[in-house]
Amino acid sequence: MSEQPPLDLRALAGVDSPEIVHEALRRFRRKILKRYLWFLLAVVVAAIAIWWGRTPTTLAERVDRASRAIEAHPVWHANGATVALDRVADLGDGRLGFHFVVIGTGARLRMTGQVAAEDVGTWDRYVEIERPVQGYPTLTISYRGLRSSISLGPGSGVTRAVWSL
Amino acid sequence: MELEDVFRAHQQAVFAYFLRLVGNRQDAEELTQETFVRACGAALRFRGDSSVRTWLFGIARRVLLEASRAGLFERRPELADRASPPDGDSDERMDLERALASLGVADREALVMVDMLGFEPIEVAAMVGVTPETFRVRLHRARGRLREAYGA
Repeated sequence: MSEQPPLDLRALAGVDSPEIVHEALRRFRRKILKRYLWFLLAVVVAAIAIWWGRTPTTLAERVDRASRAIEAHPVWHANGATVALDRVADLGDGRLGFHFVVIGTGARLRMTGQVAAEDVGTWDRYVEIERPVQGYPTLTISYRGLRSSISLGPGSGVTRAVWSL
Repeated sequence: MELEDVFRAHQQAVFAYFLRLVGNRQDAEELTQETFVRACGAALRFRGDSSVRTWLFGIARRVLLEASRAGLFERRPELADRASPPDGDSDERMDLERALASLGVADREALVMVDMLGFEPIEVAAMVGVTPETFRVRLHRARGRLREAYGA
């Protein structure tokens, strides 16, 4: 190995350095801000997705998830079809939602004050009505070309509690 | 001491390190800036096991390695920094710059770290990830090649 001393390179360290630190700190702050904003956006998107997932969109979901609801189980037989009232829910805005279970392929339901209806699967029927101002709504069951109407007042098996929901 | 002041105290050395290794001011400035940006993020994790200078150059080295993988050294290096040398331009300094620039990156890095910036070989060995003995051999060979290129 050579015993010669190394060449002195210290002079080469004396370079004219431009101002870098200030810009680097600005870049870092921008990077952090950008990351924070992305994180915030992700949180907002996730929150919206969760809210959207939890917000009932169909009539069936609105009736099944309503917090103010009554389980009522009167059963009617009409023209060979069997209709059972499973649940009545307060949908807000002066609306009531009914969940019926119908046995009788092709049976159709209609209620006075009806604003929407939804069939789910073979048996489940959902009906949304305007809350009756006075009196009781009528349920009409159509089956095999025949039609029967039932007033859902006292004696129909629907309790008074349903109308005071 | 504020982080900005700490960085400012090492700005010239980090810039010189990059300038002598990559060969042009624009890249050196960009890499120096990237080093400080990363150092800002890593500052909270700095536990003081090493000196701030060693810590900063560890980051600088990683920045250089990544830039190297991205093809930085495929561009032909220019002869560095002739814009405003501190004591006026001199032939001797120019020859030394040329000789250093003619060496391979590994040789240049060993010489820049130890003979230009004054790091202890053992510190650089730890940064580079080799044993002190291996690094001493590398440094010795690099010094020989530099002397040869310089014509001393």
